[in-house]
Amino acid sequence: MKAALKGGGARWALGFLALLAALSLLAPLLPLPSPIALALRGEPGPPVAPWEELGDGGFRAEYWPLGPLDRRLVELRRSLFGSWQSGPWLGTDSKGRDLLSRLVWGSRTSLAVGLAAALCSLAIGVVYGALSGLAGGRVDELMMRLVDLLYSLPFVFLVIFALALLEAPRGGWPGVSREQVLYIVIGAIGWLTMARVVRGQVLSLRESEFVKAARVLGSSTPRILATHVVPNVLPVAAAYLTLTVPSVILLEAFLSFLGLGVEPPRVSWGLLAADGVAALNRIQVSWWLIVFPSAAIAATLLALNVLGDGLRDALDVRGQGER
Amino acid sequence: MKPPLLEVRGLVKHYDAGKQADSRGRRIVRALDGVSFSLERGETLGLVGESGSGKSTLARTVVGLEPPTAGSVRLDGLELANLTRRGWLPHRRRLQMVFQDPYASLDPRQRVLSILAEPLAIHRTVARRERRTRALALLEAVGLSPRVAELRPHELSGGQRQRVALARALALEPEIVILDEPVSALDVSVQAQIVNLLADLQRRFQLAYVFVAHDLALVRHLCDRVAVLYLGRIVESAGRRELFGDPRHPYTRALLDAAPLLDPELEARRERRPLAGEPPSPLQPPEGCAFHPRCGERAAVPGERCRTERPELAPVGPGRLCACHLTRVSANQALPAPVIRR
Amino acid sequence: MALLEVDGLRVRFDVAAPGGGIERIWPVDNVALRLEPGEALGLVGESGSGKSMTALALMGLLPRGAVLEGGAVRLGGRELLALPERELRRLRGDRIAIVFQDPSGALNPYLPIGLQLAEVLEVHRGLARREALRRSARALGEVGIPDPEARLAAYPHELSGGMRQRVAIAMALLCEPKILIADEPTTALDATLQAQVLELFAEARRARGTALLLITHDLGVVARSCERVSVMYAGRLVETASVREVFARPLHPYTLGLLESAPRLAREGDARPELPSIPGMPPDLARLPEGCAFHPRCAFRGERCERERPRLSPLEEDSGGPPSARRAACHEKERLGAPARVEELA
Repeated sequence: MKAALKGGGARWALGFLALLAALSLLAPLLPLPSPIALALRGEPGPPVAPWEELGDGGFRAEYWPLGPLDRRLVELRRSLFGSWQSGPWLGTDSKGRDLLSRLVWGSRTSLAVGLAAALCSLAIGVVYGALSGLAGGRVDELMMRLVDLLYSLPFVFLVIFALALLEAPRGGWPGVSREQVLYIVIGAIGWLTMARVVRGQVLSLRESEFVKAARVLGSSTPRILATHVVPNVLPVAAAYLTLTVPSVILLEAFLSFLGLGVEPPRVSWGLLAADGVAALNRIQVSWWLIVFPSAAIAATLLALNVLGDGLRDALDVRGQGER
Repeated sequence: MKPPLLEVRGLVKHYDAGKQADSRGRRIVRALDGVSFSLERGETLGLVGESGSGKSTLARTVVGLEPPTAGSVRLDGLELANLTRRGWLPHRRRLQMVFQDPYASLDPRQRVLSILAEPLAIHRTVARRERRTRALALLEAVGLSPRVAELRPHELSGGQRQRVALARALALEPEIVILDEPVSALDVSVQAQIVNLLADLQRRFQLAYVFVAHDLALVRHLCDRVAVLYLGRIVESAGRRELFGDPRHPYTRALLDAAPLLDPELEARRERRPLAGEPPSPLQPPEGCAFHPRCGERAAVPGERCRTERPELAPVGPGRLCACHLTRVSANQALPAPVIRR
Repeated sequence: MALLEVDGLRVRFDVAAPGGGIERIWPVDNVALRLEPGEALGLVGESGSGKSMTALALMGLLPRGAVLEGGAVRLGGRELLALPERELRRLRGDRIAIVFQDPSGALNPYLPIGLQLAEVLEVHRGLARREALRRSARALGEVGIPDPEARLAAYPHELSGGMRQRVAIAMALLCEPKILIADEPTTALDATLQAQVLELFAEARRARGTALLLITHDLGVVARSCERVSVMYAGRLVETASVREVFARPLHPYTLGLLESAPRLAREGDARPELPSIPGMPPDLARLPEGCAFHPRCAFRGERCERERPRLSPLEEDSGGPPSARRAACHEKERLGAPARVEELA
């Protein structure tokens, strides 16, 4: 199957995403400035090309509370690179924070959110859709009405509502953090499309002649599910997965942009884009603050979509060897 | 006396088609309206009909894909009609089916080897390590090279796929195979190969066939007895020679009349008695005899009997049944001459 | 001069090869046809023979990806292939009409059939709406649709399959075309409906002298409806003759195979002998063998057949005749002089 991921497009997409994932995971290891270290200068600093300023030795290990693995990586980085850090290759924002570093660290949020949505889709969406399709009749209708209902909820209001209810106020009731609310909301709506898609596939598979043939052979329902339905549903599900993820990443970026998602000091691409817009004024256009975060989002979404197309084509058994 | 291998009595299948327009109740599609026939070992029964005749529904109901609304299906005396899925299981080894569309009846994601091993795995008739050998033997029996075992359906031609479907049906060594228009979707030059294969397999494995088709010439070639279906009921059944040589029911005659002859000379000299109208819808079957609106011989029956009274299947000769008022009226009179004149 | 003359028609198609890359196939490879006014010619072949593509090429309706590589098509002496689209559109529906296998393709599901029929007359004959509708109703009646005036308001989905096919035929015949091309018009129909449709064609020919190009895989349909027949295999024309000649004494082994392998209704005898069948499978157009395309499956295969592609040529006795005379593309055609294969009823 890997070999069949033909079309240079899908290969590039896969490569890009793999690179992104690697950078994201190893963020603490990379010789980048801290994403939250301030250097108050009053205005954003434009990008400086690497050949002009490769880096300096002013590294400060300032981060939000990191997990143990990340802390190890930071120590490793210290021993490897000392206090050297890269220069402002993509510029800095008005508080002097390095944009490249923030982009790399921000990718963690985006990818984590995408992953969460993917898992949700698979766990809830596929099962729900398959059950609905198999059940058929009234049960199926009921289940799909629920999906329609959830679909119709305007998610922004949903988030605000959820925030109002669940967010931890200063002191008192424990509640959940904004980020956790984000994941809850994404979990609540991320599986809907997958459920619909899988249900449609299962419905048509149920009526297909080879399933009928399996019945005539005496196959039981679980066996038919395992042998015939699931293998024919998975490729579609996989392809749709790669479409769900971009929309969720975009959702997170949007919510963070509105200030409803990730909170500082944590970073996300949406937040960076918001910063960029906030920095706009008539006197000075700090283009790098908008362009780079937006480009990061766009490139990742594009890569996921192209990968989705490639996956769909590659997994379409019929497409190979047919005249 | 031994019961026939397969005996179908009064089989009825109705479908719910939603509400009536004037909310008088539900609309019912009477796909099968009381069908009876029997099949002996090694015999081939042809079921002929056009669209709306119910022949495919009949195949599906007999083989247990759908439960009948009423009626009985007996395999060697054992009642199958209302068995649960589990109840059906042992009988699957005796009664199998080949579907019409070779492109749809094989799972596109399965390799041929797996397709053939599946029935063996379900019924555990063969130990796991023996399954491959058996599958290859099946391939050989249907004239396919062992190379095919590693391929997927879309890599095979229509004829090859149908052979695989046949092999799959034979895996459990059934006694009866229901063939639902098995060659209709194939190219003409391939049809003959498959037909020959069917005859060959029948001889070798003593199979009984129920051959559902619309092609009369094919039915004539392959079947011992023939039953003609119209709107969910059998209107005539007879042995091959009788049905084709001396058709009694006006619908049978019309079918034979419409069937093409591969001889331009005969076509030119042929008497045409074209059938008016269209096959009726099972949602609104005509009153009385279902065929009467299109029947050209209605006038020969006194009164309006064809319009008011539904004819029952009655014997009109040794081993022959016909459901027509005409045959009973004119049992002693000379019937209209057979279709093909000199 | 024949009504329709086709010479050397050649269509190329590029398809994606399974392992990547592009393959070239010729679904129509040097096809020649002659159709006289009022005549019925059958074009016979199985799937992949190229018969449908030939019809599309004639009308200038080749699908995207198909390239017309050569050939001439003359309608009443007028060269069609070089005509601009605008001119071709005037001819279609007016001089040449086509009926397809699936009538649903010809009918717009969102418009009542009366309007669709009327449109043809308005465009080609410049009639006013009312007159066009009147004539449309008459046309519906002529194809045997009951209560035609009322039917004008019906939508295609309200009619049965058989009736839709009749509407499609009525639409094709509205402008009294010189040629009616029917591409597998009866394949999807029941036997009794098929007989009705063929009767309609015969009627149209009797009443209006319309020539018929009937494309089908069913030899029975050809025996009933056609006077002459051309047989195609792998995109090539392999035999052309009058229907009587072909059925009595086919000259090409493929035609012979088709005739022998079809089960007969009018054959006597109780014993059920094996149906003679053509071994092998219809060829892959991208992997045609050298020489004659049919030779791997041919019982009469000779040494020359593997090397040299046979040309469509007349029998030795009638050399140099007009192209409508009997021809076969076979090196061994002299060997096929077998006695008549059709048995009469005792």
